[in-house]
Amino acid sequence: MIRIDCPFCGLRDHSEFSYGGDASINYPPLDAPAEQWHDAVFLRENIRGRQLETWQHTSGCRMWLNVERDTVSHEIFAVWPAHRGYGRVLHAEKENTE
Amino acid sequence: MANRLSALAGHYSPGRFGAEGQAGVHLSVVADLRLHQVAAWPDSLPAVGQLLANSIGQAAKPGPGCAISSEQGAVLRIEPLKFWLLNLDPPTIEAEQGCSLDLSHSRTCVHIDGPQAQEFLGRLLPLDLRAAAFPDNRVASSALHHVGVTLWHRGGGYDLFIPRGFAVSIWEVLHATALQFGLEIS
Repeated sequence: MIRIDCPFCGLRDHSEFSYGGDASINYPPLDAPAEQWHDAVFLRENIRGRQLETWQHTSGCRMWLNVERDTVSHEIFAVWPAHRGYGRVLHAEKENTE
Repeated sequence: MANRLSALAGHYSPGRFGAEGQAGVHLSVVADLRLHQVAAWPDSLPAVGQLLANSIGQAAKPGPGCAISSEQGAVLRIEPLKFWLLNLDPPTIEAEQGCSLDLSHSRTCVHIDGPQAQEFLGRLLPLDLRAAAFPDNRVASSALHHVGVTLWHRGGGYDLFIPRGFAVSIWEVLHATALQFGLEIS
């Protein structure tokens, strides 16, 4: 069982989240050649070890998250909001309560 | 004004069901729910949160996963930028600050209490509901039988907000699960 420490909700079970895909892809500009888009959309490294992923807390706060996870051990090293505005809000609130 | 009809009207009857002895779980349908969702932008969140807190006579907005309440109503923090406002109409909010949406008819609220309410909900939700992790006035959104629900720990019991279209099927799950504890419906 994977558990993800959501920055808003706290530690929650994997069943509440949806996997979003590889978070390390830099997508090309909209007018880039089809070959570049093909590579960005379809070619994946299939990493064995630490991987940067996106997850959405679909059954919780619905926030998109960046998650650094080991694909072998499922150990999670870091979780943070994918949207900078959300990250800023939650960081400021944490500072105020500490 | 038209009479409100609960999504569960005609689908349940009050009484005592299941295991004998003291009823472990009490269920009641909250009538005439007044619920508004208020969303803010990242930069306007402190101001909108303050406005909502003041509207129920409180000093500060609720933190992540928390609720504040008074005699006037309650404010639940359900998402990083979203609040639920219960039992009163939202204050006027400029478009640059955020927006509000009336959800009164889109959710069905079931109040759950009784000596085994926590154990009962533990069978249904992947949440740590022990007092240290989920004390009074904590709020959590989760999934119950793949349906997104929101749970508010209120006054020793729990308010469960269910999307209206799933109210009957979730009620059936609640009813069937509660029988083993002894169920009282009021």
